[in-house]
Amino acid sequence: MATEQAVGVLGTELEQALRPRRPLWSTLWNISRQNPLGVIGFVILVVLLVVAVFAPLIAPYEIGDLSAGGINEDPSWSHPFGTDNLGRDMFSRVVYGSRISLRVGVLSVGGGTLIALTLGIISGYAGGTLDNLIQRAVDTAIAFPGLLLLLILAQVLGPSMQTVILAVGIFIIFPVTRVVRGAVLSERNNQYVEAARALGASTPRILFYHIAPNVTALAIIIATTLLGTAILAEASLSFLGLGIPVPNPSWGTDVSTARNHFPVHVWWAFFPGLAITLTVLAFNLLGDSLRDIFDPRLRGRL
Amino acid sequence: MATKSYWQRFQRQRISRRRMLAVTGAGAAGLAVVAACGDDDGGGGDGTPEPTQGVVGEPKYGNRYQIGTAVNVDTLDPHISIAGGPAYFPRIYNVLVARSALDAEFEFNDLAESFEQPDETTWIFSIRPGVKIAPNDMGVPERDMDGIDAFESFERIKGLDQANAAVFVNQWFAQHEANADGTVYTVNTPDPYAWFILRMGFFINNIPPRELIQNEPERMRTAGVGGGPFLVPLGGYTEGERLVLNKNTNYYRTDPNNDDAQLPYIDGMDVRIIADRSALRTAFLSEQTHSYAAENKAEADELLGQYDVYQGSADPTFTFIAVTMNVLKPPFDDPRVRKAVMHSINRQQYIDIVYKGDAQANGIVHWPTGAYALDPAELDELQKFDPELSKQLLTDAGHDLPLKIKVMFPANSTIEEHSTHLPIFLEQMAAAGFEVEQDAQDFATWLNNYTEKNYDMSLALNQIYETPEIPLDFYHSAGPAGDQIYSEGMQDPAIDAQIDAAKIITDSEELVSAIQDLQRTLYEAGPMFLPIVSPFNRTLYWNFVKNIPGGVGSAGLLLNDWWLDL
Amino acid sequence: MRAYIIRRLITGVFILFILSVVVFLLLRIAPGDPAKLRCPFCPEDQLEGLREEMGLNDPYYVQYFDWMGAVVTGDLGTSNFNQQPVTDAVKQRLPVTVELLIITILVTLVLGVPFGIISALYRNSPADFGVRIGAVLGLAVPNFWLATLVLLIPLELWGYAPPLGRTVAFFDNPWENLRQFGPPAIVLGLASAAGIMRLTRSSLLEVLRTDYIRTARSKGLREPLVVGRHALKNSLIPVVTVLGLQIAGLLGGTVIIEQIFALPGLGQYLLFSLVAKDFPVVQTMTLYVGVIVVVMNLLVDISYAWLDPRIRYS
Repeated sequence: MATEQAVGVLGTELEQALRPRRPLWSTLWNISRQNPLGVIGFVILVVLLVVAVFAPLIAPYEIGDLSAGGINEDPSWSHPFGTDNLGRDMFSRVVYGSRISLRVGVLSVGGGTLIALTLGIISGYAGGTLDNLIQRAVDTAIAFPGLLLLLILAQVLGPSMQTVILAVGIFIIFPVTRVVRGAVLSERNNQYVEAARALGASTPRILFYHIAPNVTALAIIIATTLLGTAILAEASLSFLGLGIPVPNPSWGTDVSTARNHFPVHVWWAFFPGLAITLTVLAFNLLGDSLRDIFDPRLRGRL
Repeated sequence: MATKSYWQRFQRQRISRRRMLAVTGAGAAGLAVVAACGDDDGGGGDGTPEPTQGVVGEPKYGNRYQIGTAVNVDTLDPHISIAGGPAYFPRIYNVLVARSALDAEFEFNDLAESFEQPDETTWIFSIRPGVKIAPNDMGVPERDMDGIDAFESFERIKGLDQANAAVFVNQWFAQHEANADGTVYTVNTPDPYAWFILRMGFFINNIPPRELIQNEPERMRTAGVGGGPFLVPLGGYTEGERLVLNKNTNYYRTDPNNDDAQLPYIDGMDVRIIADRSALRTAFLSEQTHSYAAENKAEADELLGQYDVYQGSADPTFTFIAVTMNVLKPPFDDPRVRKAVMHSINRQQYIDIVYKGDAQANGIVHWPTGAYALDPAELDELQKFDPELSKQLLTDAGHDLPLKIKVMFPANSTIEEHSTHLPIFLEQMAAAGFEVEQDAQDFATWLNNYTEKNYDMSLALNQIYETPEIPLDFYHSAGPAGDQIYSEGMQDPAIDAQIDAAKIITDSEELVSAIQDLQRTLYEAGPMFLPIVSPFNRTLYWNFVKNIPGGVGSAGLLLNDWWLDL
Repeated sequence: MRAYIIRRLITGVFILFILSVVVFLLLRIAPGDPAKLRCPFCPEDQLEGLREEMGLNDPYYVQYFDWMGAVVTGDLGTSNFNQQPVTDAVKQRLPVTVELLIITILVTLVLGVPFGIISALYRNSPADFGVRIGAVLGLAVPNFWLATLVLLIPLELWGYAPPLGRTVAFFDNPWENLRQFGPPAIVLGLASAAGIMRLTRSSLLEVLRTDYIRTARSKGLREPLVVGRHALKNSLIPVVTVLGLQIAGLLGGTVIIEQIFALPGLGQYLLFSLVAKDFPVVQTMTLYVGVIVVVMNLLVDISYAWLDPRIRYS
């Protein structure tokens, strides 16, 4: 019992899941069979990643190619997603758009999570005034409509990719900090940490070797779901004209432009919107499954 | 068809003495974006053709006209509105006289029934009797408007820094006065001025009753009453949401085509401010509003095919996207580089892609101003599209290819023109030896940088200029506002003098040739302000909207003989 | 109970204070000159006069305290765009946003809780699976895309659209009012309903596994009674907490939804003012939105205390 606690629930689950008695592929097979939705999410993301990385090979046209096709064409074999009002190939734009979404998502969530980990660990482990200060900041940020502050930030920093990444990243920090802090608090009081402390381990050592690994796994799980949120935030900002400026092929911007031609040109708005939905869906599914696998206690809470 | 009749009208203009046409257009480039982000200015809108399909049946009294517009109205004060307001001022107040920028035959003498010009610098307006103020809840008596109201109104503009026409009045009114009984109003200009009568008719010079000016002009911000066909009652304006205009039952005009029946026919207009273009379109297609300015001919044609609507007259619009280069900074201080930019622009591609063929190429003076613009064939030669020549010019100027330049533009997806022009612009510049660094800015930042000349090159939508005066003023060292704010021009005293000289020509033939010559000089010097193309207006109406005026540009806002057959 | 509410109130005021400082500072460092936007034609000396008049030349702390002083006395200043009192605009727009918010919360609860319960009670049934898929989709669909489809597909099919660009008060014409607020509220509420659905499901499942439910069942109580009387109330505690947290998100969503459905509410006003760099309006609107969040959260806290007696007495 004590040992189990010492490793921490996360560790236990991980160990159970990856217990080396069975071959790895069989373990993976079992995990997959129990989480079919997670597998679907994972597959979508792999496809998305491949599309983003090999965009120039996959997209039949350049994103700005005005001679790709006729104007406002419906989907056809040569233009699977149709063309827009300037004759640009929508399939190519959606393909290149994945780069924007993924870049914004990964950089903002990655950066935000790193900062949140630091803040959360400091806050949770140090306690006292610093903890109080950080927690009040988190309270304020969580209590306030993120999109509104995002809009203000975007307006202050000027429309660009960097702005969106920075603004979205800032809003990733707060919820993650809170969760990390909570986890640190529960880890801190675990017997193995107390034992390490009694044996004279320094604070950095305890933080780095004992607490950080456990907490990081948790942060990654949360970050996976937040990736979807970040991508939605980018799309919303761009949709309102305060995100990624034209002529970049942001999915949000494309939906926004295409709306003006609805309902006559349904397809133009349809595919970028579908791309957003599928991407966010995939991240959510994967995040859910990771959570189920590693920490059933968190199920449905976030 | 519309194009042909349009060019025919130009021919008439060439020989017409009355070719000094009027209309709105507050001036500076920047505001355009605020004012023009939805150009359905309601009612008679920016033009509509000769008789339209809408003209059938007997005029009918009653019903309220429903308008949707994306342009938020900042204030109903006729002298200081910089967003949205001018589309409603001619409905509420009067101008002295107005002329159309599109139709030289069109004369609208409003508060002044006539005017005479004993010499080139004196203008005597005879005030029309019976221009009676509407019954109202603002405490303004139901009396006739007169010359004293005109005097008070221009006197206010003169002393009001914020007034849109302050520069005009301070520069061109040497003296003005009304006689004691208010039947005559006289203005003296310091010099002859080519655009005087036009500018008097701009909808930033509307004349409110002096009672409104004298007691609490603040009240004019949200309500208004005068001798115009409608009034905005107290509480009729809800910021950002709606504007209610009710019929002036005292309105002086009658319909000569219908036994002098009292105008207007409709009971009033309800204006809804709908910021989102898609919602605006939806409101029209679900019959919640009665008119809609389609983005271009392709959209208009699609909707015409699907719905029971008709299209108003396809008049040219006076808006355009323009490229501006900063002559104060390298590399654009070199005329060869400016010319390289000029030859990189393929206007036909904009016409084909953005407007589906429904637009025409602009020179330094945009084509909808008529005879002042250079002949298309000559333009094709002067600013010909030739990327190889561009590259040659850049090499001659000592630059390695590609030449890196930074282009700023206001990034805001609600303005269609920016998202449609930019991709084409980028492609063409790249083909002509430029490497463009895009500098997207929010509107406020862009305006700041523009007025402080803190840019190399800018690509932006411009204000509606119905005369060639302002585009040419961009080349003057004083700029269009006379204070170097919007442009420091070409910094060439000879060009400044030529621009000034053109302003005081009052003979129309001479004026046309002076303005054309001026453009040739500017092409020689390497122009820094390049309007791209101007399209036609495609406003759609539901079939029950009858007799919408057309063919006269925004002067159509003065006409109120249309009705709703509901 | 009273002490609890007072404590929450103090926290709320503190949050509003931080918020006001952050927004105030952000707007000061924003590029662009509000004076120039107000009077683009003015030469520099007049612009300087305008800046003076608008208080832009004062040190930041003076500007901040001027603003706060005005807010406390109920004078919210005038808009730079049209020089109208911000208070007037708020009076006219606040009801729109609050109504949208209330209907959205109702949609959230009406969709979220019952489906969550069904999903938990019939775990692993096709119904459960359907609800869960729906929830995952609801969380993933961008609301602006969905709103576009909801607004425009009926237009294409039947030429129908909800009233756009004007509002009718609920008590003047309830049907017209709901025709206008219903579709945007459903679109806006879908994602939060999905969240509530998942939470209700997991929370109820957890409660159903607890000892006291087992005891209740073993006493022979009928299942509906077990769920209705014992399990539900307890499982709703986390649901209410999360609903409180969702309100902030929903308010952010109103910016987009009001824009698409042309509802003249605070969100639309804020977006317009933000683009026009109308500092007084943005500052004050943000604060107002903050107040709505705090008040809504307070209400949630009170209902939370009602659901969970332990909080009442702590």
